[in-house]
Amino acid sequence: MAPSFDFASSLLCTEDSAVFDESHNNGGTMMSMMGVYEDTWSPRKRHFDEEPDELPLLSDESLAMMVEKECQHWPGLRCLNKLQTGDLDFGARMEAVDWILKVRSHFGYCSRSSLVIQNYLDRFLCAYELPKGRVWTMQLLAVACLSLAAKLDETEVPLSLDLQVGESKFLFEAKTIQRMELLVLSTLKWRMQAITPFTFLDYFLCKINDDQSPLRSSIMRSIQLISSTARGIDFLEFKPSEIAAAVAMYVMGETQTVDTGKATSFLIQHVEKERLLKCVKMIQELSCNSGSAKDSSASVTCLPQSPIGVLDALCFSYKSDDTNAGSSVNSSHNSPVAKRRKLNKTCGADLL
Amino acid sequence: MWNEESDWIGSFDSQLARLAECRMCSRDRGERPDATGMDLEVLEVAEEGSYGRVFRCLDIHTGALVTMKQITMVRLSQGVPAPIIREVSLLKELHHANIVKLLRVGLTENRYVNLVFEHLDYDLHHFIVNRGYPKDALTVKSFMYQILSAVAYCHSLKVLHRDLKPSNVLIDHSKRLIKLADFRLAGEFADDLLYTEKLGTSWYRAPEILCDSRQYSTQIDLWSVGCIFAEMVIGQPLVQAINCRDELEGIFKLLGTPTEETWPGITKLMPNLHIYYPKFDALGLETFVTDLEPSGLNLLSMMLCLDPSRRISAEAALKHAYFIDVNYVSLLLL
Repeated sequence: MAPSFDFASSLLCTEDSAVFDESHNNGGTMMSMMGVYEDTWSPRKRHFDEEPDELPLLSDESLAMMVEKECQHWPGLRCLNKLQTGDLDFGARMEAVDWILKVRSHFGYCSRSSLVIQNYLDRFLCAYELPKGRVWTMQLLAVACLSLAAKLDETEVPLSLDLQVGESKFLFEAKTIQRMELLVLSTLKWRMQAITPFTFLDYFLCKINDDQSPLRSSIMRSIQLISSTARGIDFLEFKPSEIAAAVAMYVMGETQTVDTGKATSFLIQHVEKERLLKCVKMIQELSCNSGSAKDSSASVTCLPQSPIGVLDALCFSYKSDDTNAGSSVNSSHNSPVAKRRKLNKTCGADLL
Repeated sequence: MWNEESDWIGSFDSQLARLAECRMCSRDRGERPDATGMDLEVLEVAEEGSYGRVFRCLDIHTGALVTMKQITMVRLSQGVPAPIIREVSLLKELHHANIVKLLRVGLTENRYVNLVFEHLDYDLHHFIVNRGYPKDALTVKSFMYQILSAVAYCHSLKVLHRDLKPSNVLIDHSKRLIKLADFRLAGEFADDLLYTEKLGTSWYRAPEILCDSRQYSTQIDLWSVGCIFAEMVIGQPLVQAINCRDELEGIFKLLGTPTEETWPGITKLMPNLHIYYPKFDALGLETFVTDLEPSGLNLLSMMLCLDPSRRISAEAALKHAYFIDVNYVSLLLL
């Protein structure tokens, strides 16, 4: 059903001929290149039970460097301004963000990936004017940003068609996605190491916990809250370090394990006090809204539409207790079924 | 350039795009790449790699020598290859005197990504093989200090290199300056490891990787640096100096087959260890790495430690006694 933007088949034949010619001319080189990249892209099964060793915390010097650098990667105020003045299509961006969140949970990527993808999306939209009235370009942009983030952050990179899960209105050819990828890379000047609140989170949590590792539940809670800030545009005015500091302060305060005044005096060394307090207040309101939504989502029929559904999905990649372990298993188990269903649909589309 | 991109978006579903695409496909490709758009004059082909080709070029504007790495995007179905994106995006963020500078990135016909790097004379592999390994103890020490400085910098930013070996260590001959290169496998937070080139690289691979551990961290880079250290001293890869059937056996012969005591967790990581490998007594590093002062040998043993959790960090290595008796500024001015 989804319309596919395919080039003429004769053109594809030409492309194939060109590739064949190159193979003929270069012989071993081409075969070698194919082999090498083939190996790189071969799918590897993820081991959800295994977690990477702890990497070192950011050092104090590195943190200062990151805070300085984040302004270069932070599209926040420019993006917010464009959205408010109508230069950017608010609805289209929201639709793209929602799609990103669905796909992220489908593939079980970590929460950081969502923010990385949105970072790409927003930076691109601030630097490049997509043609008006072509709704498919926002969707193509979202697909390209997701693909780029997957390549950078994950060892498993889904095939281009598999990336387009969910209720996409358009289905793009792999070549088209590549061209958009190249456009995004050039527009962002290949600076794809996005700085997100997760860059700072573990440092802040550790520091305001007297240099002790924070409880796993605190980390999980922080991840939930940070991921929640990604929906909507209210938090676009804050830098990643400000969001991370506010979330860390709120979560540790929530657990009554630290002195709020002491935490504030540490955090304001890195972020402005007024902005920190404002952000904490907004985190608090966000948390309250999530709570009330949770109550109203008791009904089964509301579940698919509920923000809590998204929040629950965000937890799938982590195991902190038996309940979440079960959720993780369910998620892993359901994923292949969903993928198969999608593939069948795709095959059907091809037959038409 | 900008207009072309806008036109492409605007005419995506038009006949014009198809014609343009068709012309691109049928265009002739000569042996020598057209680097005009890059403002470069190609001087020679320096290397034919498995990923593409490397050219020595002249920057038309500055007259400086540069190295251009031209990577072919072969498999269209996967879009822009992940290793290219990783390498470029990381090099854009890593600014250190001992890390190679990526000057700019360009595209040719949407089929090639051209990476333009500052030019350095040769790599450490070439230095060891063709010019005799650096017998000068000060040179070894200087090189080691610079390598560790770059690695410590990367690790402080949570970046693992993951493919450190002599051919990825570039040398500016006149300045005796070291620069790390090739960050295609580098990244952060990954819980898996993919090698795009297996031949040769396993000599520098940490034992926890060779045991197929999925859990590894910065320590894998320190093992590789240790192997490079030994190779600079003895003039050949350390594992090659040992008579062994594979790298892991060589390591066990050198350091002793690990036990739960010497490497806590090894029996879980490798349950069939003693089926595949005899119980070797350690031959010892000093058996093979002669002509290295005692403090150097001590540092080397802390890098080539089987247990990753006890292996020295790059930051700690820089503070080791091996480096104390030398004025670093004078080293860099050699």
